[in-house]
Amino acid sequence: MSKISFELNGERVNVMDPDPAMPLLYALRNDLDMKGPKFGCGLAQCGACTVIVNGKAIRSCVTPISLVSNAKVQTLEGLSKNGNLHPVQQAFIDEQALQCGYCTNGMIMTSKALLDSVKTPSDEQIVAALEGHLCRCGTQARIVKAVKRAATQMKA
Amino acid sequence: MNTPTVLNRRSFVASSGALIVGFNLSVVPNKGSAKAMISAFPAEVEKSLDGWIAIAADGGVTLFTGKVELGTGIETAFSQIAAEELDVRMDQLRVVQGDTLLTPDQGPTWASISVMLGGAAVRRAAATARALLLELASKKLNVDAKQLSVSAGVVIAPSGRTVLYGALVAGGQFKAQVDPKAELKPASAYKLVGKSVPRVDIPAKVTAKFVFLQDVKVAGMLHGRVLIGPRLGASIAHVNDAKARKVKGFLRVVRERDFLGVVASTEWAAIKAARELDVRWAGGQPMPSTATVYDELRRAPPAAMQQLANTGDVDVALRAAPTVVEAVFEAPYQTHGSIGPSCAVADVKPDQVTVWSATQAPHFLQINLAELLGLPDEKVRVIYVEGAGCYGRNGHEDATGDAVLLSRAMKAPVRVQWMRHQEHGSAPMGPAQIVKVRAALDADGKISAWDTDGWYTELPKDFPPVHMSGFRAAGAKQEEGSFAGYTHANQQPIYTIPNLRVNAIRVGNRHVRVSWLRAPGRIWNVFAVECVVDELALLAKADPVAFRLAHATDARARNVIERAARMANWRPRTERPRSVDGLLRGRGFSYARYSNNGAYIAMVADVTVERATGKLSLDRMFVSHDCGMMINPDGVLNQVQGCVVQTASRTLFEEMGFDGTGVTTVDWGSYPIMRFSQVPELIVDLVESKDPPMGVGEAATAPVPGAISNALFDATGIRFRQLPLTPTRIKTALNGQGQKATS
Repeated sequence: MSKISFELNGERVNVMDPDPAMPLLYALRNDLDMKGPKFGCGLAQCGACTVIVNGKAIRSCVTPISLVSNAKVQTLEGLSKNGNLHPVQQAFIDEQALQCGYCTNGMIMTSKALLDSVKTPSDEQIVAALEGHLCRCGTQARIVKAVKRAATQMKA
Repeated sequence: MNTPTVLNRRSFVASSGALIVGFNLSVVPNKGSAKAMISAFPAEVEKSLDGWIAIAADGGVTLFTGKVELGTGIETAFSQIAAEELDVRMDQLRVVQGDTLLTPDQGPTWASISVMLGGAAVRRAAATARALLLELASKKLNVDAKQLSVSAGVVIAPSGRTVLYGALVAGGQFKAQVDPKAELKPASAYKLVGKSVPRVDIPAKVTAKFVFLQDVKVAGMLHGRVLIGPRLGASIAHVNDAKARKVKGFLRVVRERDFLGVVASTEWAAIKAARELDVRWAGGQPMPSTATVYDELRRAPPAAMQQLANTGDVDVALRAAPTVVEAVFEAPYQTHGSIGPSCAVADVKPDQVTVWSATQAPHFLQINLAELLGLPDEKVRVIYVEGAGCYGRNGHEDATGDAVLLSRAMKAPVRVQWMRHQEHGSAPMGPAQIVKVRAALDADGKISAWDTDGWYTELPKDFPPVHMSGFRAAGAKQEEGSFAGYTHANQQPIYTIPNLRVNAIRVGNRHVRVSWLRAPGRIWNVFAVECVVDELALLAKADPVAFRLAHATDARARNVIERAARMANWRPRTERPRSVDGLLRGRGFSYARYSNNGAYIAMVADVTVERATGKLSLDRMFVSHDCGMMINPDGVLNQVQGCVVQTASRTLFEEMGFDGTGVTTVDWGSYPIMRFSQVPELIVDLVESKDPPMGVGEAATAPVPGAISNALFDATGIRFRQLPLTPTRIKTALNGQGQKATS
């Protein structure tokens, strides 16, 4: 029986006998019981499904599981360490940067990936990084504030 | 609270540590009067205190509410209200919501009345409970109740002796009625209400601990996908499932007349199998095309004509006026645009049906499902689980019906997830609307006459059943109604006008499924009013702000108008700004009172238009908002910001498209919504008030398109009356073709 192995939030996991074309999103949510990445469109248009693979924020709804063989995959679940929230998560709480919260996974994951590579992003850089993420509730301004807040925390 | 797998109240309360002896499960709302709940302002049905509040041995308080958290923060607001009256901490209280087995029927969560009415009911229940607890404590401590105080669920006597809430009624019951005259805590003593208490659901939502409806998993759950006809009444002409059957994990194709679904053991298999199903649809109602949407409304035989107001003599006043402003405003069909397409889980057993649904109206859905299934109401349990923001009736009940049909066929729990094109294309939409206004000034430059006709949706005599598209396709006797809320609200201008006529033309037979979308009808009605007011102001050679003040007698209206103008540093305009570097700049004003009886909102919008492309940049908006007392100021601010951004998106970009045979705008590429770079800077002024709280989930939507259109006029000298205000539309107008004056 074939399997795809990769590292999920620091832990080695196997997905047994998958369709290699199956989007990573379904493996994460169904085979591996993750709730972080969400189905929003299945078309890479909204960003709700975003996870981080080998340090890059990608859209799991269009990424075939075969592409993550032996990769390091991080979901929203994997951001907190030993019960401590990641600064981006804490910042989203401090700024109350969501309403329904359905887009929040993507917002946090892309922001985290951004801050891992750009320590003090400008407003323009934050907006550019999140331009491909849709929020229907209209909390974009709070999200930008949260990312800036997290950047300050992470520098300290 | 977010645990959708509770079996019954007995086990629920037991699991929170209480000792249960003979717990009475007959605490269920009077089903006979549940239909009375389906009104915008329902009377309270649940009179038993035990229906609202349970206290465990450890003092943990459980608040049962019929209103549900849709993502706007009312769960937190209700928690604040209850914790305040009970004198417990926020973390000592949790909410169970929208479960027809466990919670009272408070009617649907809609119309921005949750805090106002639903919160008031919670407050009375909590106050009643506190009074009873003090009575019990007074007996236990042998101290007059008036001498007792409470802190964090601990009753304290003057001597220092204490007794915990949990020790007074642990697991037992109050066995009392809610006292409508229960003594309420005065606002001067508030510790929680009025504070920006952090939302109770946000921590779980940022850590992936929150269980959205889309995350619900039930033991033995199968996965379903449905195939939906492209238009109302379409039937299946042909189905070939040969390829679908070959998909690994495929279980069955379920077909009931024109309801078609496929069930598989895994989600990916269900998706693939649905794609492999070869289906052809035929017949059904003709759809409009995008260009004929408004003609279709005008040509449709009206279901009803209503005169909503007629004062003075409008015809005489219009005839006497030297100039009559005549304008027609058109707003398109729009989708709720939920980021998470609708989803539901159903477990249909022969004698018990359980559904997990994101419906706004769990108790109503329960009655409807029971009727469709031929079961008594008590055999159907609807458990609300929060989905993605719905902003009204999206596909949440349709998906629920689909899950029920598939589960019934499979005799197993089934999860149905609608795909993106189904949420866009098959969920009901916010209806298109036309508003016509003829208005005039008197010799003193005041508005003398206002004659308006509006094309609205039907108002049914009795509340129509929930239209679950799957059941209808399967042959259930259901009229596809066209109720989309009280869409005529705000058609009547809030200003002082001596000769006024307001007519509503109710369009019944639409070929497009419609439902209530945030601030139904109000946004487009205020758009019409505020644009015409602006036009009259110009005619009167008056400043737009001064003109509105001259016609507003309500002190709270004048207050927000003045505050917004001051915040924006509004200057009376004497000259149109000129084009600089190919950019036209302008600012516009608007004011509304939501539904003419709710919150007061005034706005200033600043825009920049690129001449060459027609591209509009919504640079910033100033908003003054008076909603009475605020339970949670940051919660209010979040709603105001969200209302403005979402409605700006609807104003600038959004229009559902049709091609005569179906919907063409079925994804985010064809139906763009506002992106980060397009969000305006928002400066919001929340008026501090001790007046009774008014709803905020919708109010700040209403003045948005008026402010933007008036700003566009200031920038370009052109009146824009058809939405959305796309670059194409703006550029065409700038190039001189202009806005067609329609009759």
